[in-house]
Amino acid sequence: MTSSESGPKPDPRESRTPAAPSGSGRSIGTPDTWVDAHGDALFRFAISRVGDRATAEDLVQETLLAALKGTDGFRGDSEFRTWLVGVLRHKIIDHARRSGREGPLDSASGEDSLIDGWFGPNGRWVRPPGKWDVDPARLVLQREFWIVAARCAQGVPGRAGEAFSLRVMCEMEPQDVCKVLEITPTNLWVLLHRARARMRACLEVNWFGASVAEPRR
Amino acid sequence: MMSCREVVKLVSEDLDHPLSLRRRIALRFHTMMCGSCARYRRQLRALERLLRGPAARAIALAGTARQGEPIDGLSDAGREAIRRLLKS
Repeated sequence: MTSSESGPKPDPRESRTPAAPSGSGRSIGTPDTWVDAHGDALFRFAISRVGDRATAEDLVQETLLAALKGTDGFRGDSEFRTWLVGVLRHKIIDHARRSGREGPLDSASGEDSLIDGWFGPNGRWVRPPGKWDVDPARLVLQREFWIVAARCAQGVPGRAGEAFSLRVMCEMEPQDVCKVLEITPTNLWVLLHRARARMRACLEVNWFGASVAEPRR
Repeated sequence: MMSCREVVKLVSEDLDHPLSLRRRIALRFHTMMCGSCARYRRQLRALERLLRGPAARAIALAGTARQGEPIDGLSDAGREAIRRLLKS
């Protein structure tokens, strides 16, 4: 495996050098099959973080070209996919850094200002969740809702946001998300808890509104 | 009894992996007694159902796709360009 994540961007002209990789190359298919096998999945992760189709496609292209430099040692497609997602993740982070949209770093400690503010010292609610007078199931077909939801998801900072994109928007299995983010399951549960708390809060403010109590449906 | 603070974390974990019997019972018991935690759980589960899955993504991305383009993946032109680069 190469460390192409941190290396320089591959020049498209370099891509003619290594053709089909040796050894395990067969189990992950030849490079011309990669875009069909993995392109859409990578694209979904990219767009859920950068929100712009052209940028997302560029990042997917860079990722697959980086893979040309070394694909030895993968035991099949799913391991290769996980590795590709990891490469893409670094490219997304670099992109955010270049465009000056790098979010705040998240702490690995138990502190979380949003969630901390919900509870008193005894662990009971001091700011309980508000009532939503819209049935979420009815939102599926409302385009405006999805635009707000996408913006809320992109607003979840750091690894919590990445974890949420991979786990929920891309439906990746938890063990694969752990590999991509290089964290333990326990860390992942914490990150997802924080991300969901933020998604919920963001949608409450921007969509569900501060609703007055209404009879339940 | 678990605090609400601990329960909201379990509510999220419950969406990702099977909880131990002990924690499952604690969660069930707490949300039977506590309206706010029960509401939080309902809301999180509803959002999860909504945000997961191809239908949600398709609709979410519909606004960003050009007419006639696939909305849940690479554009045809983008796919072709990448394929060419990988082949050459």
